[in-house]
Amino acid sequence: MKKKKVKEFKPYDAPLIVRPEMIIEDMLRLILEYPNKHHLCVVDENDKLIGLISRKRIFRAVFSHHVPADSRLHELYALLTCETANDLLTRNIITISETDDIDKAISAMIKEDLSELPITNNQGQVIGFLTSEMLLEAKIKDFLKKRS
Amino acid sequence: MNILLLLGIILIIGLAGGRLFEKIGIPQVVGYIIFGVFMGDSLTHLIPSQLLDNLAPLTYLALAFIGFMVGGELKKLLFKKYGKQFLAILLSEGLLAMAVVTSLVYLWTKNLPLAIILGALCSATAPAATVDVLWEYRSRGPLTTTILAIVALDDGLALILYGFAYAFANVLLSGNPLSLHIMLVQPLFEIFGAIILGGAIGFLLDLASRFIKLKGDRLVISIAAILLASGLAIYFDFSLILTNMAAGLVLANVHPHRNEANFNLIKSFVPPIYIVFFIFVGARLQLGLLPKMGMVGLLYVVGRTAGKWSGAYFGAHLSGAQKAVQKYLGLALFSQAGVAIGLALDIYQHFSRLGPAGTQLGETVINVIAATTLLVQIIGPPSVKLAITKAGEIAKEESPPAFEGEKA
Repeated sequence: MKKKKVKEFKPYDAPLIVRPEMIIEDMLRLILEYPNKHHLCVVDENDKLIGLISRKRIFRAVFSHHVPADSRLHELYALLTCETANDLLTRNIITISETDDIDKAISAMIKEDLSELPITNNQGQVIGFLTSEMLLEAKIKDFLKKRS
Repeated sequence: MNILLLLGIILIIGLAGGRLFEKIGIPQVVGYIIFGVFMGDSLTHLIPSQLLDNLAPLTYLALAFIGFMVGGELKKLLFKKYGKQFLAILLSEGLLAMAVVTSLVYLWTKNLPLAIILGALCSATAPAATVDVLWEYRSRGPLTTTILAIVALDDGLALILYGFAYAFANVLLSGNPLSLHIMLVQPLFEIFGAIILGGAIGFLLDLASRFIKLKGDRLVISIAAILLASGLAIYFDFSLILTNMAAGLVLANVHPHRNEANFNLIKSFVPPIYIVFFIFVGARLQLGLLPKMGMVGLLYVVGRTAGKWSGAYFGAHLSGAQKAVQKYLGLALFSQAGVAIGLALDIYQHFSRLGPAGTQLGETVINVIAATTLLVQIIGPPSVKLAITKAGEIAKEESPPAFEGEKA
């Protein structure tokens, strides 16, 4: 797997794309409709990826009154007052491109404790996700190949 | 008893005391202070005042962390939706409380440095006890939102007011002849000096955090930055707590997501330092002086309560906040703890070096703040509950919140 590039893992896991103005209720419906998707990709008017929203964060926002009271105040405030995707998204995200080495993606996933990484093209548009399942499946295929 | 053994005992007693008080519905900080009183010179002499003086760097460290964490809460996000409204309420309740307390204490004592210092300290509000109540009753609504924002911002305002008050009191107590330069330029130099120094260290820490990814290294560099800021603040005679607040504020707002880890790491690192700090505050409290300070303490509590309540009303009214916010916000701002106590100890550490008048001022401030903290921490949480109950923001049943579309 060492020399592999990201593009060798096609087809990627398809992204769920939303606009910053989407309200929480609609986001909730969307993640229930697609239970296998871990993130919503928030894009601007040029379809450029501006941030991600995880299922966990949506859950925390919906049940914000159960988030521990000793959390940081701005976080409690953000969860309590959020209304749209723009209020919930994480902007500082790690992305990879199709031409990146797979090693780079794996290192980032382990270091940042991520289960998947968004893949973007030259225009910054998200074209799919590289997931830990895809990497593990490739590994098991390697094992089987070596045995046979 | 050697210091390490004593610190171990203090931590165990503090932890047990805090939890015990929490079980009976009183904020942990009250438990720390009461156990501190028990261990101090007023009762058992387990922690003599000489030892407290020798361990002053530990106190400075706690003050630095308090300032840094307060700065970290002052995020742009809080001003995104209701910025003008929150600013109007914040300034109104903070400044009015300061004006009322300063006037009352001055009229009673004729001691201007004491009056200004207590006035500045009274604007701080303890977030922990207040937020605990909001969460316990799963409160939601405009009042809850405003309370959260104001308690997040209040300590920042208190630190800025304290910066001015500290500089003025310093000038008044230094014995130098008063002039416009001394009354205006020196305080401004100290405040802006602290802000510039802290801001610069915040930027450097942000820059370092860009390259340092490992959690352990992040913790080390964050603590190093806080120690540098504190050491330089002491060297230049700036307010240590204000300097660190500026560092935290810059770090939290330049790259909010990237730097969140720095604050979370510090947050998990500081509890033992806070416990020792609050126990030390209790140990400094001199029970014998309390009757003498009864009237000042009473004026402080009455002035603070009246100032915060009326200030919150005026600020909310002028900025067009909802009726529930106008009527009940003041009730939710009574709690006082970490920042006010930290500043009181900062006053003691600094002013006791300026001779007997400074020592007396420091002792008075610590005793008034510690004693009134015990009182307002007990009446604060029930007042918050009353406010959210009256505003109709307590959740009625255990169910997921309804969305607008589903209510119809």
